[in-house]
Amino acid sequence: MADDTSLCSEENQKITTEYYPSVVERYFTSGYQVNLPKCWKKGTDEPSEANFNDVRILRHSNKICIVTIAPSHPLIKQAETYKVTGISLKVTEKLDRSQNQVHGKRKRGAHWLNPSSPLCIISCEDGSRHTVYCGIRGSLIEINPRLLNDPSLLQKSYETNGYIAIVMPKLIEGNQIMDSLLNEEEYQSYLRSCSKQTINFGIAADIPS
Amino acid sequence: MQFCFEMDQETWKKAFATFCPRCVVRLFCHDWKVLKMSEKDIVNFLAENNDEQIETSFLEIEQRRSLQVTELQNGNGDEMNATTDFLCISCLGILMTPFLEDCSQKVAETVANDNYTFNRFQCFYFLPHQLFVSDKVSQDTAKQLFGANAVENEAHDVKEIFKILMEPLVTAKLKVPRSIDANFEIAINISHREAEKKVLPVMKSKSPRSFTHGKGKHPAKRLKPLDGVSIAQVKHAISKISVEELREMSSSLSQPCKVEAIQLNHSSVYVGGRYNKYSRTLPQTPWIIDGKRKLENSVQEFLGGPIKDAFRADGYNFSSSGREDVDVRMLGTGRPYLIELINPRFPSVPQAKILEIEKKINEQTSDISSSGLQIVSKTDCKRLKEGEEEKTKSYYALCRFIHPPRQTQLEKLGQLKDLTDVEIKQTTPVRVLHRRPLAVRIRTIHKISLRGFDDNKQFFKLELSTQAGTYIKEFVHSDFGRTSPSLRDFVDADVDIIELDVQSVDVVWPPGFK
Repeated sequence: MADDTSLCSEENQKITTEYYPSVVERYFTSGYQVNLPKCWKKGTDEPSEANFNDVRILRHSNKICIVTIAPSHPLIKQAETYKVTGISLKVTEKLDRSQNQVHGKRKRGAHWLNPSSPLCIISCEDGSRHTVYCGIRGSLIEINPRLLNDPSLLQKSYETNGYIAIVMPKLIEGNQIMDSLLNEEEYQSYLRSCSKQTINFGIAADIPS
Repeated sequence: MQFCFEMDQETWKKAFATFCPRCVVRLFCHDWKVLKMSEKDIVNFLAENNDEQIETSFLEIEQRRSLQVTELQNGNGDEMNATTDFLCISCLGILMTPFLEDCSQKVAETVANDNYTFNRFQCFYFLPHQLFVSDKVSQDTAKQLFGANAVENEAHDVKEIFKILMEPLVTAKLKVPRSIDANFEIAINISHREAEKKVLPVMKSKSPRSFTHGKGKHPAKRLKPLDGVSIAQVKHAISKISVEELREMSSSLSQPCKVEAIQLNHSSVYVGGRYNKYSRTLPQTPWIIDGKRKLENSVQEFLGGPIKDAFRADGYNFSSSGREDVDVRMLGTGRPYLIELINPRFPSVPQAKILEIEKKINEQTSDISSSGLQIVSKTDCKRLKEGEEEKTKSYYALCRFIHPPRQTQLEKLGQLKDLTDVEIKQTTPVRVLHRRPLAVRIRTIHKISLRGFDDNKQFFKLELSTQAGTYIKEFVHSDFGRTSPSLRDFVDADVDIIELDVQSVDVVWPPGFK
């Protein structure tokens, strides 16, 4: 080692074996939107058929939200089966998310998103295509541009560098955004109830004809 | 210059019954020497140049007036001012000696009450709009009375004469000279409420188009005068309405102008210094979210409060060369800051006293300290902001490997010192995305050096020197890959930042300090 000095005692004192929260844990609260695009509403009967097209919403204390795929998503749960090969931002005939351009502090010109708005389409080695939906209402600030060059990020680090998009909710809706989502506990119990059912990934993966 | 007028005694009598002596000369001639005289001297002057009888006519009118006043006083005292007191239809009383005396007296009282220290002053006058109406009417009246040839086409403005008459009176009372570059400003607001109630609505109904709002971007937000109309609007309306109509609508006015308000203001004084912050729970400016205060104190209030009190200012604005997060300390020589004091009563605090203020600031808390406090000129203030983006700043960052490091990663950490002036691309961090536009900014990391490890080699301290405006926390943890390359890329390991201290902000401030 070139530099092998040690920290001063004051600093050594601070460094204990205590738990250090990660960046996501420090600044964000997370919520889940499951069974997209027809999302399952909290408090109603559990869906008869879960499609596991789930997203996780990380909400920063400044109300900006990061959309990632959820751990229950087939791309994560069955990463072996679905190997990501590419990502397309052209979500419908007319709608291309790569056209999204925001300007200024207020982020003018952003695409407006609803919970069921598609963000991107992920294609896998086996030919299956998975649409990722937004899960919340807000303006699209950006689709993670690094996913286009390196789609493998999506499976390698889906919670951090492999995020899908950044969405800014309306200021007045900012506080309520988490209310419509499942919290960690609700999400886990939802997953337990699903595991008893027959899992049909066919809905999530739109296999081209 | 003609001071001799061919008019009979009846006309003189009529003139004195309609106008005050000063307005009589104002409508006839331009001579400042005469205009500045007292009313009595003006009458004498006219008598000397024309006919001795003029003085008699004037006194006769005066006498008749005071007789009426006494009569009314005996009857009903309240109506005295309202009805019989003579009102010059031209200047609405503001050029008459009692009004001038009263106005300057009020100025002196207001200034004495507010206890300002100053050595020069300047005055601003806001006069009632009705004067534009009465000016047009009285010029027409004068032409009818004295004949069109005798009257000057462009009489001196009432405002111009008022200013010139007021100056010596105010100067004598305040005992300091007037100066156009004085920092102490006296705004004298004179109103004519009766005209606002009686004349303005009629004008609005006669020429409604004059009072519509302009097509400006924010017409509603424009500063409006007391009665809600602008001079331009009134002048426009006057040009659209005939003299007869104007005379008709102002004929019922019986009250003179009134001193509505006297506002005092001293222009801002600027104070600069450098501050250190030793707390990780103290924000730079009051931290308010959804109308609620997050933390009780702030650097701004610790500094601004005592300074504001010493200058006895109405308020202050705080600005600094950059800012640090609430959990970041500001060590070393401190961060340059500037405080603008608004409307200070005591603007020239001597340097010895300023050092006392600084001592007071430093005694109130151990969380911050200030140094180099001094008054700075307005032109020097620009320097503070100039340094904000280009200058170098240095930091100490306490970081950690999220997973126990491998030997190769430790080696890479050691090699960081070989990097010089690396350019990084920072996409606006999520942390500030709500208040800054989305953009990719290129910043330079001048130098990184390893300053120490803990025993397990999991925690390490870095010294960084970077271009101002670099987000250090994001450089370390990469902000979801949005800052690249980041420390994670250089070390090829997951690293995170635990604590950050700003070590220096390289701006020469205050001017000539250190």
